[in-house]
Amino acid sequence: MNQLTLQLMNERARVGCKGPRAAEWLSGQGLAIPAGPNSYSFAPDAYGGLVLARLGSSEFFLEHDAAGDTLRRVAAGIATWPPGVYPVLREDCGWLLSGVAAEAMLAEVCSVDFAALDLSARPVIMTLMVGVAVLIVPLSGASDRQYRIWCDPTYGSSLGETLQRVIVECGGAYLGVTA
Amino acid sequence: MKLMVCPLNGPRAITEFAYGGAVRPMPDPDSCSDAEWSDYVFNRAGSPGIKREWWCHIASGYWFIAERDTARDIVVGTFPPGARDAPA
Repeated sequence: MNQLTLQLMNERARVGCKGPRAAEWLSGQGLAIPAGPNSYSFAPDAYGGLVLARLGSSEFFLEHDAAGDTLRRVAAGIATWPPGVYPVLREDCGWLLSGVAAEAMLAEVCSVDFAALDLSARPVIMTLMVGVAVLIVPLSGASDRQYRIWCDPTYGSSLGETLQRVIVECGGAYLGVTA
Repeated sequence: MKLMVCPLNGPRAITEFAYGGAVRPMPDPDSCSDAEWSDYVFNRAGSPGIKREWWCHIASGYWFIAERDTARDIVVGTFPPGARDAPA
């Protein structure tokens, strides 16, 4: 097992929406809504699972394998402007950070102690990573934690190059696009 | 590292926050006098003491109210904007 790896996840499908009735509408689409703010639900499926993150109380970020059709259906529904549901353009750049040294690497680039997180609560972390606002979804892997890191695409190139340099300095490897 | 507790995101480094000014009730611009309006626009209370201020957690874009003792340079408490004990 590699101690530390970083993969690009830009090809994954992502959708956003917000509004006073967004939770109710998403629930009506058969999706599991996280009960609390800044938490996520994970629905395992044949495509590796769908992540639905609740940002604050009434905004949602969904990401899934592009081969799945769930987010295409959700995006088409949001585009019809259901009452109280507003689309949020999500073209985030994404990376998957994994390996037993992931928390040590994260300590180099942001000020949140990820090793102390209780993953059973499925927390979503919004913080600054080398000065860039990021959304981080920590997932429990088979033998280690995995962190899905998302940021505004205008900062993607800069953050990506920085993370590649840091991960090499930390003894890890950049694997490019997710297989 | 100096920390501030965001009501939504929890304790974070102070570098993750931006100051948004003092919490001050705005007079009605249609009915207040010019003196009242200019006092609201131009004058600030700079004396050290406990201040109620708007702060923003940059990474999440979440605005909240912090009560800060500027004489001792400590954060006394933080509140969501709609909290009962937050100032009007």
